[in-house]
Amino acid sequence: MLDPVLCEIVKNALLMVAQEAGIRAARSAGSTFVSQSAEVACALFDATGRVIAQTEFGQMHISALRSMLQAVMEDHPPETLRDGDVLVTNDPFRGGIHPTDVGAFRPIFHDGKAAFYCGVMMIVSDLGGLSAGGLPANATECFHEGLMIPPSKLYDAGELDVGLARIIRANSRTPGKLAADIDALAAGGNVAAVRMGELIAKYGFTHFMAIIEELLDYSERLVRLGIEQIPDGVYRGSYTVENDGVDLDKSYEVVVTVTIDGSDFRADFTGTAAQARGPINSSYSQSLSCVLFVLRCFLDPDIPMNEGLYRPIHEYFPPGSLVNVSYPAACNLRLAAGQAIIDALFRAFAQIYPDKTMAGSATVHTVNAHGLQIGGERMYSMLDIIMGACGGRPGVDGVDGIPFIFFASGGYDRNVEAYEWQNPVRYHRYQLLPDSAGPGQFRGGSGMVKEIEFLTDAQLTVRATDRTRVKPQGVAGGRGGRGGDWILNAGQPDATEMPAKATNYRVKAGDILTYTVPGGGGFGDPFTRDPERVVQDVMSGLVSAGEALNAYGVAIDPATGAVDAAATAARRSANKRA
Amino acid sequence: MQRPRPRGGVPINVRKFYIGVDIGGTFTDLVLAEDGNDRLHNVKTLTTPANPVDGVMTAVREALADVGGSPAEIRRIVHATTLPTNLVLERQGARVAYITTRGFGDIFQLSKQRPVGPDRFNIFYQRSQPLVPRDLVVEVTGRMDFHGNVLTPLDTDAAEAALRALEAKKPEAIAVCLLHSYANPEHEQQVAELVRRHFPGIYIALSSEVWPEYQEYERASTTVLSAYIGPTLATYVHALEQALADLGVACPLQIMQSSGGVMSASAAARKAAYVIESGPAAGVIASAYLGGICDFPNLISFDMGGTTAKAGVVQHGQPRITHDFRVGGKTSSGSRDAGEPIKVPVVDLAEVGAGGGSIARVDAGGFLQVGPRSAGAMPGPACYGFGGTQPTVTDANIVLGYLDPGYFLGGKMEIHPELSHRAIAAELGEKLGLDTVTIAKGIYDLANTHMASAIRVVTLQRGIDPREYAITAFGGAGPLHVVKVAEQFNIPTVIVPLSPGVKSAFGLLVSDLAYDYVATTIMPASAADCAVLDAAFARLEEHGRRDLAVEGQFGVGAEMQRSIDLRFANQALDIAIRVEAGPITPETIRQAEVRFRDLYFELCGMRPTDPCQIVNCRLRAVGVVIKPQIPTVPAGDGDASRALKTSRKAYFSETGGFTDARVYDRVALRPGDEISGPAIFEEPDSTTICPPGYSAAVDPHLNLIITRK
Repeated sequence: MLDPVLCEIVKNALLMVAQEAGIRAARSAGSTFVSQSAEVACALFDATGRVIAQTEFGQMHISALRSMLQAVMEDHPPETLRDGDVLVTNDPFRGGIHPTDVGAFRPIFHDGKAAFYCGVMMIVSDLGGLSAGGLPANATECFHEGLMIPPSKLYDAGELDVGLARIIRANSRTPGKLAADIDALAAGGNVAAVRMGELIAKYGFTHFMAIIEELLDYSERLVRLGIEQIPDGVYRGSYTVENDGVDLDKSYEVVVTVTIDGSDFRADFTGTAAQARGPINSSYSQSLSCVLFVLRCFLDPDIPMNEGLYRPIHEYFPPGSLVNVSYPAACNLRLAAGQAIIDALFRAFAQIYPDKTMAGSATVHTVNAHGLQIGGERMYSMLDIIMGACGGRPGVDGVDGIPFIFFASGGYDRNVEAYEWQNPVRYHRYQLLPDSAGPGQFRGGSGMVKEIEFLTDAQLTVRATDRTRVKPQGVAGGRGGRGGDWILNAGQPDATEMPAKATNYRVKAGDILTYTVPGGGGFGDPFTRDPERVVQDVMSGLVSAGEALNAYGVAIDPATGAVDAAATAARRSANKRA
Repeated sequence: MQRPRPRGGVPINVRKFYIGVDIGGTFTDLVLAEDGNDRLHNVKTLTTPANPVDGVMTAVREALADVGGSPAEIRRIVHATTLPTNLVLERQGARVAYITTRGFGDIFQLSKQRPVGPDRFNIFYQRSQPLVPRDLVVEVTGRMDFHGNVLTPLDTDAAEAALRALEAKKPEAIAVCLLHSYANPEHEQQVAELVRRHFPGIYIALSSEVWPEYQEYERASTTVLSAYIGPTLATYVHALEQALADLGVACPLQIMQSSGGVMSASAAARKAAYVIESGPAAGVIASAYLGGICDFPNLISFDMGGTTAKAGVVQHGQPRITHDFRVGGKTSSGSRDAGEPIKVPVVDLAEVGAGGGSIARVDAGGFLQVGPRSAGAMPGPACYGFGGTQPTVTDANIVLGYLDPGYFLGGKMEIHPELSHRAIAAELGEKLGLDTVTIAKGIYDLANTHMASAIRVVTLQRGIDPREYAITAFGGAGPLHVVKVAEQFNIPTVIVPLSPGVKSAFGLLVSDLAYDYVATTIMPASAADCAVLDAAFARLEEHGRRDLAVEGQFGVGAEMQRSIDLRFANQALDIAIRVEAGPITPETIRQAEVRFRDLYFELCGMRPTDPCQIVNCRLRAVGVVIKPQIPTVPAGDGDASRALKTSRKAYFSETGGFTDARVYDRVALRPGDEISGPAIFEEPDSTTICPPGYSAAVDPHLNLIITRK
């Protein structure tokens, strides 16, 4: 082995380069959604496209950069590249995720050749398609989801391809923001090129490459070490996705067979439903990101992300299925399938580690509104994202109002005051929803409710990604979380239930949309929950006294918090007999 | 126990003392300066967590006794403390009730905290407990829009009923944050009236007073934090003021803020959120002062102690400030972090878990790792002989010959170098297949790259080129590493002050009074309403004059520093641009916009053509205070051999092995001395390494200025 000290130093240095590029790209992004998150996904690759370092930001994007680069290299062989080139692509059938997630690749030259690549990706502002923001909930083809960009040189030796840039801008409803986003991606690659140049100069190219080889082996060693600890065997799991927003009475099953064989891990999704007409399909790289995420929950979390990490992992996603979408199907709601992949894998792992699992979680929901500003001719387009809560875990309740950890996001990430300044809307609620958590010995996290009033006529595109009708499932006797609703003018004579997946739905000035996102499923029998914990939930207002009695079998006086021990015992033993 | 006071009272004999006291986790550090005396006096006492006033008073009495001074001769006393941070970390603060707009009571239950680092893959992830429990939240009816227009009047009857119900829950402090209160504080003030009626004398924090900036989550969490630490902090500073008065100290107590400015004790009690990071700020202020006397207005402040190293930046003589600090998070590093955000100004610091006590180990993949685990003070590094068997950074410094086992803490502590060798060989030697010296060198190098990453965060990631900066080293371990850290960035000048181990408390003595204010004034830059901006600044300056007047007798001048936050209409990144005093004109805005576009280019490498937006007006009201007059030291004879103690073998990569290095007594050096590396400079609290290829010069303030030959 090479000098283990130098290897560690170079490992850290490469990660710092990727982080700096990711921060640089996020800082000047036009999309508020991105710039508020301070970082975007960034990876560094060697000349053959192997990942050599990657930030841990954007777990949903983690495999996409690696897959997209393969397509970039096929279309633009190294000998056609020049220093200063930046190549962009968003093709979900060739490594991407969906058209609005754009990747930018910057070859980094040494000695006249492309020796490395830096890849940066983010969700960009509107890139066209059926609805503003590129997330049409009822899309049935990729063409509905935005401009498709095959791997293309946006910068040729540092010179912007004005024609391509104009085509991209012309396809956007918000060309200024989109241009800022794409410029930001390019800026990230440029800073990485400078820093990589410094590292090559410092260590010498040959030595540097030898160290990198060792870094890949190192990650592989650690992954294999981790997989070896998992008992060999074949484990199955599945999870059902509710409707695709087009065929409302159909559901779709994701099925996985996990094989642990020594230090190798295999996830085979044979048996998974064929791809849907609606956009709930997941691209290959999106599905792989989900698989990696779950596996890493069972490994040392500090293993550096690089090609070595992939070596012991073998995956099969049947082409044309929900987890490996074929051209030209839609896939912007891919996290419906993605979340099901995660939950199916958790169910497989639960057979090995019943005490290290999680009940079904809710997932991410979006609302996009666009229309006219008050009194003006100016358009606005806003994206609000709401995360559902995660499921209960053995020994620990699901966290209230915090989404499933995959998204590494907070529950109150978007300030109402900022939205009201920018858009003609007024928020009335942004709260946890009592009695929304799936009951369990360890209950799910509470879901939440938001209420928006539209001050001008608007069009809404809403995406309840999944689990509004088919609730987040409970595990080990736990019960499902409350599903979700989208209601216009709740409590009024003209109250209307909206479809949970709707594109360009018209609302009038003064209409109020109330939407709830699901709570997480519970873990374990709720009638075995410690009555004290039920009391805490009742006193904090997250569980009603009625729910306490019916779902948990605990009789509580909500005024004092006193438990009626006799009534509780009677209720719980009656439950046992039944 | 008081010393006899000097008699006579002839003014010429009146001595003038300046005292800074910094309470840390383990030790309370005091630094005393005297007008006309070139030596600072330091006292270290054990922190007394049960009643921290005791530790402070012990230190003050001891310091006065040492210098033969009387309490009445103390001209200024400035205090920094980790008390507020600890209240938050240990969840020991007040029982806070939170009053907010109906529909938004769950803001802290929903939370901005998110899993970071290894928690990203932790199935059992739990976020830390909110500072306000859900059953202490009160929602009131009443709503404003973002211009401050009342859409729904405050329902005071319902609010009173809710407050009556709250009485039974016995809150100890109340925080109020209503939507859009930055634009119109009326409803918050009405609520405060009701609260005062129902809870006479209770600690109240209003968001429209604490930090009236738009973005409700950050404003609310800043307000709640104030209420959470306020009562304890108020009680504490009043007790300390009383104890000092009882001793006969005549000057009022001042408290260091996270921003590097100080405020009166009474202001700190009211604006508790401003002092959350008071200790670390002092170190950067000390750097700024050092930069001032050495003529380096731009420098990097590097402080390395036992468990962590911190880096900050001084630009144009002022510490760089962030408004994105997260309490209970690790750093203000700008990436996503755990902890609750606060908007009040905090000195921008990046921290890494690499200090003298950081433990070296071989991980499962076979790579050497240093930190973040630390051997602490007990058992400490292996060489302490307290039973520690795990090798640390300090052990590596012993093996490499950088530290003299016979002169640890000035010879006060016995050190066992053989234990350092044994720990490295036993714990790491076999696993790595390398000899002890090579491993020690590896530990040293790895610690240096960790520290470099902290510097990278506050410089390169902020668009600052470190090559244009000098670097100062503080902390007991900083001067051992600083030259090699600087080398990674080609930073040309290293400044090591005398007594670097206690130098950061010196920052307390040289900091000015400063009060920060903000007003949100969102408008397009191209059509700015100058009257609105003028009115906003006039209002902020009135606050500033009022707060500074409390300290009137100490200030020698007041300065109103205005800035305007600008951003591109399509982006979230705003940058504060300084503007001059006087009426705001379209030209003022135009110039600010030009400056913003330039700074944006420095930071992001791009020049968007989008229109700009004004976001906030900011004001810093500075009360310039009298600082200790520390004379320069006359030059010596230029012959440094007077300070030469011995020579010993130390490892230098420049020579590829152990080389004789001359060892100097730092205290005996005189201005004008110049020494070529390899050289080692020893003083009781620190050791400075000057490797081959570098030379060190002593300046008139006895700083070592190390540059490449």
